[in-house]
Amino acid sequence: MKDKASKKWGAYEVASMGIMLAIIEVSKHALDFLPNIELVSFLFIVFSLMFGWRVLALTWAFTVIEAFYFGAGVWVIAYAYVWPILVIIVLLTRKVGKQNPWFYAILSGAFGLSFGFLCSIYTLVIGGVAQQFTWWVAGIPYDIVHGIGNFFICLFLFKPVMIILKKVVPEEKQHL
Amino acid sequence: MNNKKGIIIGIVALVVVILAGVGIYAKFGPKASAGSKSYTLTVVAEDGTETSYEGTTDAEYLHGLLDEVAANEDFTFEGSDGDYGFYIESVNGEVAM
Repeated sequence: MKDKASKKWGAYEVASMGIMLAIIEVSKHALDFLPNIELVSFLFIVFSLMFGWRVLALTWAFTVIEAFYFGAGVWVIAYAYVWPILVIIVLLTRKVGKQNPWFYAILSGAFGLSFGFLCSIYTLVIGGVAQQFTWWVAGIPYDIVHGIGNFFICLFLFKPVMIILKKVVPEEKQHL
Repeated sequence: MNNKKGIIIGIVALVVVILAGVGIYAKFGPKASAGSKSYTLTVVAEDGTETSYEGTTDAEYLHGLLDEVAANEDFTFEGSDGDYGFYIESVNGEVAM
């Protein structure tokens, strides 16, 4: 049963967001040597299912930490909307998804495939359709790797990670 | 049954999108062309002096051109291979800043 008080940011919510951010950062940098193979998409999916709309704040915190780590650049603009888009889609489709690993694997794969296109949207403002198109097309091979990687990572990890999260997160804090 | 059907449709859609991506990249992706090209390579040293190398080449990529210039002129360069191609670290003994 959902805890009605969970709408507020209590100590548990703040602490759990910090831990989730640390998990996402560590897992991302552990796989930095593999271009476009990442756990970030998968983690945002399972965290969104478990903790609900709060995870939107986590996406922006993630972007800020990445900006500190790599140095801010135009990529920050893309990160500011791309990861929230994933969280929003996950939360809007959770009744359809029904915690089915295949559903979320397909969703994650589709997100990976569309990552380059989504990131290229801000270039519309900078250089118009021509720049957006060339920027996106040049990255298609990486998007394909990203999509396939996301699909299999989510397919194999979804069930075991959700089992662990359900054990670790108190039932009244879960937004399933 | 509906669930299974939806999953199959989803996977098929992913495969179709991947194949479409391959096709779009093959048609519109960046391409290098071999053929006679003229070039001007200018090296600006730390003290501001400029050395220019001009000519024509059939090299497809910059690395091939640099190899040709190094073989025929008083030009040297060093670098290392990385995940994204050759990374130039120094030219004519000067380290890139």
